[in-house]
Order: sequence, then C-alpha cells, then structure tokens
Amino acid sequence: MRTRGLLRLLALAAAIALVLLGVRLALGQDLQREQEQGLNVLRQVFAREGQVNLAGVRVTGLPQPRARLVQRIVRAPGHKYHIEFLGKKRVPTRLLISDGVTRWLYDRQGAWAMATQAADAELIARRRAEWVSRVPDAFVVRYFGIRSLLGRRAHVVQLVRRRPPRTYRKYWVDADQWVPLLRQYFGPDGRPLGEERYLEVSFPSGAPPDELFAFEPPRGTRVTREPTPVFRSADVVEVAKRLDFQLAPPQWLPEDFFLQDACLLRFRGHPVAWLRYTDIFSFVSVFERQGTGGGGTRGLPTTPMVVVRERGPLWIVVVGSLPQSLLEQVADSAQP
Amino acid sequence: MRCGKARKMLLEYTDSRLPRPQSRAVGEHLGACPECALAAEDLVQARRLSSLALRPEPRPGLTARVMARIESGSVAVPSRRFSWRFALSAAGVVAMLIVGGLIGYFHSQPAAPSRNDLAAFAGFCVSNHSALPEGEALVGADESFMPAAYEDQRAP
Repeated sequence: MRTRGLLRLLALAAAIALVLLGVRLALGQDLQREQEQGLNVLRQVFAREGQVNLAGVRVTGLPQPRARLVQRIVRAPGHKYHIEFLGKKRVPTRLLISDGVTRWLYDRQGAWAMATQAADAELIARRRAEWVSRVPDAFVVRYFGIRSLLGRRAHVVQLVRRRPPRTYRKYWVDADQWVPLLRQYFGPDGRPLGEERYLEVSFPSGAPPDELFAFEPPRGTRVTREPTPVFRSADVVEVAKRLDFQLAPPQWLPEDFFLQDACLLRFRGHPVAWLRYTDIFSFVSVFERQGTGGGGTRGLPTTPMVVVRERGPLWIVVVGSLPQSLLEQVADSAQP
Repeated sequence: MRCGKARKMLLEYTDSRLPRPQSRAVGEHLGACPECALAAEDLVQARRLSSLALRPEPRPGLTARVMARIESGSVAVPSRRFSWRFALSAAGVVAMLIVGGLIGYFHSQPAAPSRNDLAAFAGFCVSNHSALPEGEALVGADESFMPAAYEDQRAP
C-alpha cells in the first residue's frame, strides 16, 4: 500500500517536472525566436543604411523642454544627405550636407563652415557586421511584432543591456524600408531619457537631384577644413604621438563599452584628442586638450549628456547618452 | 542661469543695482543667450527713450530772456583770471584720464584664458559628437542631440 502511494507521488512529480520542462523549453524557444527575429530586423536596418531615398521631418528630444531639435532631412543612396537644423519658428540655423565624399557642417548665424571627409561606407559596413555579432552577448533582444506608426507598418524591437547600467532602447522600424521611424531610450528605472521620431516621412521612388547634396560656403564664411578623416579608426598610440600633452584615456567605462575610434582634431590651433567608445547603441565621446588654466568649470552651464572637467593640465569633455552620474565617473577616471 | 531668472534681474542689472556676483552671472548669461541680450538691449533703449521723453522742454522765450540779461550786465560773467579751483578740477580730470587709460590698457591686453574658452571648447566637442549621422541607422538618437546651453558657443 505504502509502495503504491510512493509510486503515485513519484509519477506525479515526474509529470509536473515534464510539464515545467516543456513550458521552459517553449518559453526559451519563444525568447530565442524573439531574439532571432529582433536581430533580423537589426541586420536589415544595417544592410539598408545609407541606401534609402527618404524625405522627412524628425524631432529629437530629451526630457528637458529646451533640449529639442527639429531636423528636415533628405537622404539618398551612397550616404548622401542634406539635413537642416531648424530653430525657433522652423528657421534653418545649421546645415549638414554630404555628397558621399565631403561632409560639410555650416552654421548660418555664426557664418562658419567645417569640412571633413565623408563616411567611409566600407568601414561602416565592416563595423556593422562585427557589431551584430556582439549584440546577443551584450543585449537581450525582444521582438514585439508589427505595429502601426505614421500610417506605416513598423517592427518593434527592444534591446536591454545585460549588464549595468540596464538602460534599454526601443526601435520602431519601418517594415518596408527598414528605417527606424521612432527610437526611444530609457534609463534603468524605465524613465525616458530621450527619443527621436519622424513627424512625417516619405520614401520617394526617384533620387533627389545631386545639387541638393553639394555645398559651397557663402562668401564671408570662415571655413575650416579638417584634414583628419573624422570617422576613420585610428590608433590611440598614433594619436597620442601627435599631441602636445600626455593623453589620459578614461580608466573606467560601463561594461561592454569598447573603443571605436581615436582621432585628432584641432580647436583654435590646439590639438584635441577624440576617443569614441560605444556599446553598439550608445556612444560616449571623450575629448582632451591641453588646458590653458585659470578658467575653472564653475559657472559653466550644466547640460544633460555633457560633463566638463579641468583636471591637472588637461581640459576633458565627456559627451554621451548615459545617465549623468556615469558620464561623470568616466570623466573622473581619466587621470593625467 | 536660466532665462526666466535672468529676465527678472534685467531691470536691476541694467541699472547697475545688482550685487557683483549676481551681476556677473547675468552678464555671463547675456553673453551666451542672444534673446536675453536682445531683451537687455531693448530695456536700455526703452529707458533712454523714456528719459528723453521726460526731459522738460524749456519755456518759450527762455533763450532770448537769458541773452538779454547777459547783454544788460545783470549776469556776472566770470573773468579769465587764474583760479585754484579751476586748476584743481583740471588736475583731477587729468588724473582720472590717466587712471582710465591705465585700466583700458590692462583690459586691452590678451585676456587670461577664462571659463568662456572652456565653454567654447565644450561646445566644439558637443558639435563634433553630434554631427555624425553615419551612425544614423540605430545609434543616431544619441549623436544628434545638441544640448541647447552650448548651441551658441559652437565654433570650429
């Protein structure tokens, strides 16, 4: 009698274990399928990058009311773009233009323009491939299916950092053109940190005229031509050799961030080191130059996403889309 | 300093009635915010106009009456004799000119690097960080932010 009861209990336990295992497998498969679907969306976005005809108006905003940016955008295949930054009453203030070879940043108000080498399409493609392979290790990818946005069908994908800070992002990607129509960025507590959304968008069938992507600085414009290709990877050691100060790279960055670029810029005749770190979806830039002393950072405007430090002989500026305390940690870890 | 706070203090600022730290803070804000600078300019302009409007007009015939009194000799015209009072005043004016000149000279020397240089450098960094739409596909959101506080200080 007792044996039979025991056997019954064992059978029941086995049945429960089997059911749980089945549920777990099913859920796991679901998660895996979701991850794969989400990754496929990302692959498509990367593959179509710089290959789309697009015209639209986009708003970029932080939770702070003043930090809002409106852009009128026209894009064409070959990383060509014409982006107008609109000020109050939608008056164009700055212009960002690339014909695929040269990129111009033009400021109407200040009457200055800066030319740099345009995107290196091959390098970008190589980098994207490497990045996609890194995603599963660093992010939990979830796919929420297709929703409607701006009258178009959009895949909704969410990426959550596996390690702290557990910030996460949500992308609404156009299902036909693979262009993100809405990007949302949240802090670890779910608080929105920023978003970028198209207010209107269209994908014309024909390419816009090439004149739209050419730029000639108007007479009287101060023009700076930056000899260093800005978006090309350079060796930190190589950059350090060309500086007039001892480079102090940050000793701390959040996990999964890695160095993407190091390059040399000039500001008012002084060399500036620019180190760019990324976890694939967020960027942190660290700028360093020889300080001239005497100024101090007191009284400087406190701005989200920017940390300014005067540390020993150096001026250090850290810009990025991380919570402010983490940017400060990055800045403070750079010890000359 | 935010625009709202600066605007509240503009009246006292343009009257030079603010304590020095606050006055400096407002001055810095005006240097960075063209709108408030414009508002301050408007205020100064408005005050100048109103002071002109409030200045009393001389009564009709005043000039003729004064001239008549001078010609009739009822108004004493000072003689051109040496006067200690005049000499002291002249010396005071000369001293003030010398002091003013020295102050002007020192101010015209290249200014020591200030907070503004650091702010301009920060603006330069933000604009470089922001102006790379090649990362457009999925990462553009971070790269396009241009925090407003630095916008006016962007320069190549």
